[in-house]
Amino acid sequence: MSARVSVVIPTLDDYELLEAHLPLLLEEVEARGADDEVTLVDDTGADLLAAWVAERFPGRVRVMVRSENGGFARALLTGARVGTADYLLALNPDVRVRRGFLQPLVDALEAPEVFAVSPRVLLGGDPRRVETHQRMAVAEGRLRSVPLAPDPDDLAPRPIPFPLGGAMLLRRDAFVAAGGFDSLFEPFYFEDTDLGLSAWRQGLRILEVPASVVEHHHRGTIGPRVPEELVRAAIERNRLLLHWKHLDSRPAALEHLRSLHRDAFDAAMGDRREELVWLALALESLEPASASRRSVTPVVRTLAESLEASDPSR
Amino acid sequence: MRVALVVHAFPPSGTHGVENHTEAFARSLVAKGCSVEVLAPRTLEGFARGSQRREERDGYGVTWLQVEPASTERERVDALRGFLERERPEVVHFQHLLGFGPDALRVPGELGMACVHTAHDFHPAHETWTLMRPDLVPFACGDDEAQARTLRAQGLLDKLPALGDHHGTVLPGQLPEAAAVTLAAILAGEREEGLDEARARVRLRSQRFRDAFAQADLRLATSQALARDLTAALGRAVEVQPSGVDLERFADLAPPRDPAGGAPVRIGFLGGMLKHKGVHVLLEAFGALRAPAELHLHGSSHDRAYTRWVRARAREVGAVVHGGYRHAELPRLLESLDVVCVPSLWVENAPYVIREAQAAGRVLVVSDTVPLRESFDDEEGGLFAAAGEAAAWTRALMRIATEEGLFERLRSRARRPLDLGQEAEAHLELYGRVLEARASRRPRPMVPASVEPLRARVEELQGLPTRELFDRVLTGLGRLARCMGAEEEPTALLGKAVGAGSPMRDLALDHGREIRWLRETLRAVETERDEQARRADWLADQAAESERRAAWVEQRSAQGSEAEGLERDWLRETLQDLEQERDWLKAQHEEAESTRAWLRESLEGVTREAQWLRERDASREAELETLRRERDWLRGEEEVVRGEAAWLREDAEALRREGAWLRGRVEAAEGEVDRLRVERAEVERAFEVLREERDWLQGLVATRQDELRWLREQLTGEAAPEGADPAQDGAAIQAATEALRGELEAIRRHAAWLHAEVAELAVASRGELAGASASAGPDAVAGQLQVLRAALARARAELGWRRSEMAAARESADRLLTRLAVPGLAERLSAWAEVPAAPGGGGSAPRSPEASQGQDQEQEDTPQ
Repeated sequence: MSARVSVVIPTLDDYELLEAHLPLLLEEVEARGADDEVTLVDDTGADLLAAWVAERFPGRVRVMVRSENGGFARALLTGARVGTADYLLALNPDVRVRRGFLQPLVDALEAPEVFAVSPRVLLGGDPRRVETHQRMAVAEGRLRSVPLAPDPDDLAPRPIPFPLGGAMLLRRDAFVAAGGFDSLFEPFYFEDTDLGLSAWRQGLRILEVPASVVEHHHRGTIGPRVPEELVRAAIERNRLLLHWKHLDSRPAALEHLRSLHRDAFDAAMGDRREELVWLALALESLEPASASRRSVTPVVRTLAESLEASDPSR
Repeated sequence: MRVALVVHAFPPSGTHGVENHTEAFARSLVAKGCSVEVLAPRTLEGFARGSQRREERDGYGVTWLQVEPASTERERVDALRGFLERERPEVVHFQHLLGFGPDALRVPGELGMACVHTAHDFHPAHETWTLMRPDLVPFACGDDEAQARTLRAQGLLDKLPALGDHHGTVLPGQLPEAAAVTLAAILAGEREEGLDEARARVRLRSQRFRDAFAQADLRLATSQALARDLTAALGRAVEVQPSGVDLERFADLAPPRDPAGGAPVRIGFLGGMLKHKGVHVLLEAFGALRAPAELHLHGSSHDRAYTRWVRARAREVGAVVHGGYRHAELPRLLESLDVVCVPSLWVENAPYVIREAQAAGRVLVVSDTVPLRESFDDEEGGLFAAAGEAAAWTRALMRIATEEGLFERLRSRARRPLDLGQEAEAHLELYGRVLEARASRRPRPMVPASVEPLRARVEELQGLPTRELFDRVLTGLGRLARCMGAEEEPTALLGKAVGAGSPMRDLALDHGREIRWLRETLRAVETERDEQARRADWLADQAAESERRAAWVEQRSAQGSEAEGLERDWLRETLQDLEQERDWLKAQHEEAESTRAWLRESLEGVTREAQWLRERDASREAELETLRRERDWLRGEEEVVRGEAAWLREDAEALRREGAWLRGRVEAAEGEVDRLRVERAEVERAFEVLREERDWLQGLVATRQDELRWLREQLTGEAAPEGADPAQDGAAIQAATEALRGELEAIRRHAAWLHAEVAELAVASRGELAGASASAGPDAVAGQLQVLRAALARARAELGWRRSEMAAARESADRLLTRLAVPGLAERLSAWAEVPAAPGGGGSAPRSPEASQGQDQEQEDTPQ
């Protein structure tokens, strides 16, 4: 008997995306025959989806309505809490699943040391642009992700630094018990990276399952609603917070500090104000970042060891 | 509220009314809680064109924009944009557009900032913002034809070097006759040459200003007359906001002297020594004044010809020319005057000197023009005199000097000007209104509620000046370094090196801007030079081709026959065309060459500047290198010191640990000593007890030996031999005791036998009696009874014998008992069976095994 899955899709009024992607998901879930459940979390704060879903997918999708918009992380937690299955599949409404994507994920999560799994995520459906296949590395004092080109013939699950928040399967109880993603990264971006790195540092593993494939039409939800400069500010701020949370050696901290001073001075010299804004924004969250830093326990692997262990090209 | 004031000049490089007022206004805004930054152009040796330097004043900043005569409005507007992007004010308040041009008004709006402009004169309406023709005749605001003729006429003045810095006007008789005729003809519209260009220029300027002022959120003027005229000229509403003065500066001045007291009236002029200011009119009026009076002229100007004339004329009429003064000296200068004159010929708007004289309680005589009429009512604080009419001025001054009670009346009715603080408050209201209006017009981007906190933070940070943003980042990085335990690391030192208060930061920032400007300029010049070179080459090719074709045509023409007449004519015409074309091409080529030469010069200039900057860079680089070496040395030293410190720390740590260990050992040893001391005391006590016990036991042993001897004597009945071994006494006692025990046992057995015999006899008697009575008759029973009686008699005899034997045994035992029954023997015998108690009651006290062991040891070691 295969484990049951609670599929949770946090969403705004993404009617077109849901119209296009939800039927495929429901077909897949129902075909698996494992009594899985699908929950949409209406994060519009205005109860816009219940009637629409009831009309189009009667009896097949549960809708949870949030009284106010809380962002992806909070909405996912809302859905995860009401789920009843062992496993939680987090999906973005801009993710389009491909046939047979779910069972390989469920199979791959059986090993207890595996914290989460992600399908192979193709950006815009392009098989040459694999979003999940990347490694993370510290270069010139900064933590960066490096996209990799996977071997299309190698379908064995590979370690990856983090599960993609918009398409990941993990144990529901553990996720709920931990309070979901770290709120440090609200409203969006890098919360899934942090989840993955924290798991690796605690001695667990994250896998990409190439036999499971989905398409990600990136920023199909955020892009139309949030000005580009705010999206960029969130990305750059959270990139720094992520690094600060997981920095664990004095030499690495010194190198990082040097790079920050150098970049800040360069930005001031070149009147590149936006870079100063990102840095100032991140520094405003220094206290919560320090608190989050203390929450990563027990630490089994160092950051460097985690990055090395999670490198899919290893 | 963050406010940027943009002005054409600023003290100390510009010290006229608007500049001084802008400085005071900046201070008053700061006093009201605003953050103020001023941008002002200036020209100083040693600074790159377009560079910006910031300095701190009394709570506000001044950014100096380095300009040169060749600096274009475009450059200044770009510099303004950079300044505003860095400083991020909410309100940009232009005090004058001179040098920047009208396009500057568009920049704040493009950056999302409020734009306010205050007109202090007619500059927004006319290029000749004095509204003064070269012949010192004013023209009306909006009279574009008069403006065009004035521009055309000023062109004429520019060609007369003798006039020097004429400021666009000449005094009657100052021009050569021919020039005077030409000037009059131009002003009368009788010389059309160049006038259309001037008219086009006026139209173009007017349109540019009208368009640009439409972009401003608020247009202000300092007088009603000016607001009215500018509203008409710009086609946009201009509101009135009078300027104020710092009343406090003039609060404690001595009052003016009333001429009624007999002292000469002290008349003064304060301002630019310029023709349109009418100083010459005042000199003429003073020359004609027949009353005790002094005339003091304070001020300076670039119009050296006029200044020379003023000085000469002042000497003639007895006036004193004091020259220029600093604004800070103004209260003292006003204190030295009784009457202040403003004899302007131009339509002066609202000169600050009038308000400052009012604040100082001085009597005014002012030209009777429309805007100045707003300053006070005639005969209420001062008098008006017709502008340019010396006689009218003489009459006014004469009245003040001589008319009884007039001076005091004028003085007592003087109007109190607006205070600077009130002006600042009024402006803050206006700024607030403008910002509110802008906010209502600008839709805030709608984002999901979860993104709103991020949006608000980003917006606030984006609104910070770059300097503050950078400072905030450095402060934050310091906290981050501390969080990471790297407080004293080089990164923190770098932060300090480039952080707040470091001149290196401003220098580096300016340096970076200069280099960028130079690079861009160099690139533009090189591009233009290459283009011009290509064009010149092309023109040279064209000219060569034309020459070649002309030569060919000429050759063909020379070879032509009469039959070819028509062709020759055509060829000649062609030749003429080609010659014309060649000439045109030559002219183009020369022009291109000229342009190229100019560009080369420009390039050389830029190259020189770049070279200068490179040299300065090299010099700075050398200094930097020295500093770097010093820094490296210091780092080395720091490393050594760090190493030593680390070593010392380790050493200290080891010593501390050893000390702690030793302390522990000492404490343990002290504890051990204390414990041993206690134990020793206990042992000593125990030893003492043992010694007592030993003595007691020795006594006891002796006693018991005596008792044993006595007991032996008692038991054996014989005395022990003298000096016998006490063990022999014990053996003798034991033998005697064994004998007694045997006797007693025999007695006990005999008594038991007797009891058994008696009992058996009784049982047998009863059985025989009972058997006889049951089986036989009374005879049998009597026989049996007889037998029993005989048996009883035997038994009695036996019993008597036994009794006698028992009595003998008892007697023997009694004797023995008598021998043994000495007093205390029973207690001593019982005491022998017990552990003897230690003397002093300590014998049963529990002892530790160690103590016992020690005691045993001591007993073993101690000779007994």
